Amino acid sequence: MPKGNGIPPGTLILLILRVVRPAPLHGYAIAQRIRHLSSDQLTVEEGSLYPALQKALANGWLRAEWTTSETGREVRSYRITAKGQKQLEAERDDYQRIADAIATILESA
Amino acid sequence: MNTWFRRVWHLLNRRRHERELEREMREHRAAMHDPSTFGDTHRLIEQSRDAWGWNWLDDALQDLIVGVRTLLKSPSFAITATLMLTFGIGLNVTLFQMARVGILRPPAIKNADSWVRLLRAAPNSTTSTVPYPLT
Repeated sequence: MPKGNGIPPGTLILLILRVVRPAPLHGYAIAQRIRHLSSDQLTVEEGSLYPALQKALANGWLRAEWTTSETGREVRSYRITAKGQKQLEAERDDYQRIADAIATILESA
Repeated sequence: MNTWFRRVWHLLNRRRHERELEREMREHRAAMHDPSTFGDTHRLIEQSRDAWGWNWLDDALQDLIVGVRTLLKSPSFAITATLMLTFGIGLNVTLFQMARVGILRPPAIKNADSWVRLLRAAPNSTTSTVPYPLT
């Protein structure tokens, strides 16, 4: 599975859950949001986005529903579930711990 | 709704789910400035299918179909194989059944403890043929 450009392996789901937390978003908007929030540093390829979304659906972290976008198109929006909130917290903690550990190593003498 | 239930539900409605996913990807592609960077829809749908964890079932079904077609293509092989399997399994079952009756199963007798064996012993001979009265 091709990984998103610049996105560390395994953190895509974390980012997706985080960007849909405030409000439901459709696939294209999720990719856009991640790119904008990271100032174009991170881009999500569709090849990684859709498998990741399906994984989140399969695990019950997200729920999908058809809605009409602000431009009037039919889109499938993803909403975070209670289980997804928990997963988000857990993954965020994991990520933080690993990032701190790596930083400690890099700053060691 | 637990994860297993969701997975089974997805499997049962897979055709509809995948049509929805295809439609979703079509909309996504339409929204892009450069739709050519969107990957191949069918490849993406297959990769998305992996997420639900039913690959083993698809593989097993495919293997089964290939097996059946191979057997249909060469009936003589199919018949030989079936006969050999039949004979092998039948022989095994028969022998085991005999061993079970003869060795493994306790004899079908009421109050086995009350049985006695009568022997008649003389200084230079022993015999188990002992006449006894039937009451």
